[in-house]
Amino acid sequence: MMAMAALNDAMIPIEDLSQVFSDMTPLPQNDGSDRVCVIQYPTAFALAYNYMRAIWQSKEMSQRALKLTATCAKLNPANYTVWHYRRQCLKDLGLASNEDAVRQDLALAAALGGPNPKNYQIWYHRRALLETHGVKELFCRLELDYIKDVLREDAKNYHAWSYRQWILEAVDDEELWKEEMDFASTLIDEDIRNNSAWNQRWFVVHRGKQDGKPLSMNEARLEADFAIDKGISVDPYNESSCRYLLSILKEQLLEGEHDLAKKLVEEHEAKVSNLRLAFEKTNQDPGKCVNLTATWIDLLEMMGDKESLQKAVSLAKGQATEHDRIRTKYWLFRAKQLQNGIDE
Amino acid sequence: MKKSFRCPITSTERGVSTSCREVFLSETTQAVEKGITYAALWSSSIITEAVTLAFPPFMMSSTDGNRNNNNEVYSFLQQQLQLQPPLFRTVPFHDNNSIIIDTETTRLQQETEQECAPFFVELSSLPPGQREHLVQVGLLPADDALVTSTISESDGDGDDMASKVQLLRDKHRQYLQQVWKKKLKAPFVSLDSSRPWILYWCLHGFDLLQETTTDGRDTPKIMNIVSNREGCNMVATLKDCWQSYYTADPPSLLVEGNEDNRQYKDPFYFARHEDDVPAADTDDPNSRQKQKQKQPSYQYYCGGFGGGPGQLAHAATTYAAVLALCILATDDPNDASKIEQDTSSDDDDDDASAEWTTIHYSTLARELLQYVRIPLYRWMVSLQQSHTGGYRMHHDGEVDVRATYTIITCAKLLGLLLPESSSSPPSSSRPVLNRPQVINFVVSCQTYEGGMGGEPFSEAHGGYTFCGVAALKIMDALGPGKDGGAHKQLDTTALLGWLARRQMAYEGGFSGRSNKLVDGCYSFWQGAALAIASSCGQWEESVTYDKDGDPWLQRYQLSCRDNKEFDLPFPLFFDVGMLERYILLCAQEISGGLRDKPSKPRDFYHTCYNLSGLSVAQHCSNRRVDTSYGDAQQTRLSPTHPCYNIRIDRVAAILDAIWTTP
Repeated sequence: MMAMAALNDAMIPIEDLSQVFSDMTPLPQNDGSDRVCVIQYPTAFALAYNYMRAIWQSKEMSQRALKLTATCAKLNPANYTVWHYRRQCLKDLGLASNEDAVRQDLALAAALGGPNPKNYQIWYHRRALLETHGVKELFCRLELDYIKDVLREDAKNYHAWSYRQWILEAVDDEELWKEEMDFASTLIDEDIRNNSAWNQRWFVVHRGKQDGKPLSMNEARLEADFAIDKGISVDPYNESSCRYLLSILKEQLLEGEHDLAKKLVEEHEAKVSNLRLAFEKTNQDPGKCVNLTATWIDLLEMMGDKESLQKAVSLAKGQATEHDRIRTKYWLFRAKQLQNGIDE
Repeated sequence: MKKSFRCPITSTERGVSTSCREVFLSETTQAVEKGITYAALWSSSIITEAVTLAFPPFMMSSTDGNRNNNNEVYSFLQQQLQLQPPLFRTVPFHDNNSIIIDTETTRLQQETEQECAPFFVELSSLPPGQREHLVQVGLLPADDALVTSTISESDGDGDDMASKVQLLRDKHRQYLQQVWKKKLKAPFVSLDSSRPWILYWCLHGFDLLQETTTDGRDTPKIMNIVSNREGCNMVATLKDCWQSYYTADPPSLLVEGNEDNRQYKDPFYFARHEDDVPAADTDDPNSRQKQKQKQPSYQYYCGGFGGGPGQLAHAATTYAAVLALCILATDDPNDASKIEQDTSSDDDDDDASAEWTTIHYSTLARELLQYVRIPLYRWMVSLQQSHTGGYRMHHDGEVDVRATYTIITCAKLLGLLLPESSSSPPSSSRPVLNRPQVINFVVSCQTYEGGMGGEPFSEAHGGYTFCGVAALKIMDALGPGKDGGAHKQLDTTALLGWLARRQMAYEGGFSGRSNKLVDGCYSFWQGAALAIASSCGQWEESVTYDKDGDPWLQRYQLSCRDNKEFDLPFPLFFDVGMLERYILLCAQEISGGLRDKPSKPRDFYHTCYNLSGLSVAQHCSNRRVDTSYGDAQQTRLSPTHPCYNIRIDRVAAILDAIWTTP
């Protein structure tokens, strides 16, 4: 993390602004009574941004302009124009391809973002810097570690995960993909309901590619088994692992080798069916686990034979009328859809 | 910094010092002892006010900081309230009364259910004094026999007072109109790059709360939204956010033909704009001289709206600005209903020549939209990423499906998105937007779960799902038979399933992602996405509806023509009553405005989207099938269009507008 001193060095102190920009006329904004959504800016804010506007108008790209963007970014980290101008200054000053300068700017963004940044601009700044400079091994490691720190604060930070995916795709290194698989698994261990971690697993196992090629049968089997062994059988109430299983199987049916896929579906339909039996053995109504029933319905649909579809229709109706009444209309629609499948 | 704190419940004025936290806590204990309804007490407006005073860093700290401060106070209250007779039902935990493994996710979900639980009390089981208090704050109607009855008992299964719950219309209106009647306090600097958003959230929210007037007319009419002066100020503010630039090089994707014979035929990009700078005259000897000095040729005037004056044009703030202008542009220049507001006492010297005294804001808004239309198109095209079909949010900015939605929406409303057969590639005479690539990018954002993420492989998320689904609908790329083979199809069954699963069984509201928490704003993002997804399936047999058109617009046009209400020819695939219940009971702030969930403070964004979701629930549902929650008449909002999120009649008017293209 950037030390306070280093952060301060990157900015111009408010009290120095008039002196540093003594040759410029600050440009105020019209915030009079003939405007709406007017914000009562603190004096420091208004001063800094009045100079920033003057700089934008003059199109000056300089060290002082660069520092002013840091001052302004601290005052409002969501001002995307400030960040954009900062990047333009870096390019103009020849710093965009300078490793040290990039490292410093990444540290600046981290310092301004705090432990759990949820600001588009701060995350995009990192990406833009590295898009220009190139990710390279050094930055790749640094960034993955930084993202890991953020995820420790909030394991579902959406920006963090998007950015993480971009890094991995940009580098596309087999070792890193394997490590990422472990990372996703660790997070699933820590919180089996962390949907972002399951989503990451899908991303990794597909190597971030949407070229229409499904997983190999071996890979699909491993993933389906993982979803059952480490997911559904551990906590059948968890939606994340169920959707994962269903999509792995569906992908094989639609895009893989059909007969093998069918067999894989049958195996897993049996496993899920057995899990429901386990409820009954402990005197619990398996119908209460709405999620498991929904999963079984989709599997029966994939099986495709008349008996399975009829079972699915009956289960869907049960969801509609008894177990999952907030989704009654959806389940009735599903039942009808499945019934149409039988009639055709 | 001395301030005093007036408890809204007990009305006691207290001086504030470092121990104001203790003051607040003792205040609430007293209130509880007096039997003041826990629901009103729980309202975070009281908490927020006290916490603001007690914990000064509150307003500047991160959301996490807020939550921690609030949690301390809330857990104290929870302790106190447990001394009361048990008033709420046992809280069923997530997933049907069972948690097998305790994780962060299940812990947060349980906390959320617990914070909503007090609001789900059976109102008829409350003691009369507490019911009276709910009447005082406006959540229940006055002069209602059932409400004022001295009998207090639970009828066990339902809540017969459900149909009495009110929407605090006046309070919400007061809250929203601040942004054009007063200045915003310093902490709003964090929204300094979102000022068109602030205006849109408040204007649209206010629009939904509009009431009709019969005021000397034959048929009820919705009044103009603001006074002329206010409206003109709004247009002026948005005009300040207009950021323009010039380019001499149209993007290569517009060019057809070869080096020697370039054809530029896109009718919008190459339309002449008054602020374009023509090429130097080639017959003029002076200009030949200039050409030797590499004087640029024709300069195209381009632009978009930024978050504030001088800020870079940005897709999201452009969307907000265009929507706000569409609201203003579709008001009636002859409507005199708000004249008193303009002539009431005014601080400034009356300048008789001020714009608002001579021209109506709807005209100014229309003129501004006419002016920006072509330059906006050019700017939008410059944001297109031809290799992926995505759009950037601003020059050198991030690419995600929000950009596609915001750009496509603006283009459609401004008549820049012509109907195009999706099976044929764009020709040089057709506009550039709406190419199959654009559709493919959106479809590629659908994840294995069925919802959509911001970019391919990003986690399925309500906000992005709405953007993707609405964009596809506007581009007429959703639904059976909408695939001419030129682009990929969205899996609408998978989408519908994911969306349906986002409604929380206990809370009734929607979450944004699987295994995340309920949030009032998703009432719109997920609710509207469901309204659109619902239109993709089988329609009832109907001679009145054209399957290829916009069903919501059609219904509006039909009801205008026949002067009666029609139902949509397809169901709405979520539990309407449960959503309305969440919005009315958990999201409303008793001092005005709506919020994410009870522990969060109100804000303009959540007010806008809770109300928008309520409007979708009311107007996209089917009266024969859906049971609403609350006082159906009293809570009724004007109908919003689920794709654009402005009033449907305004969408109709704008789409009918005739734009002049020189």
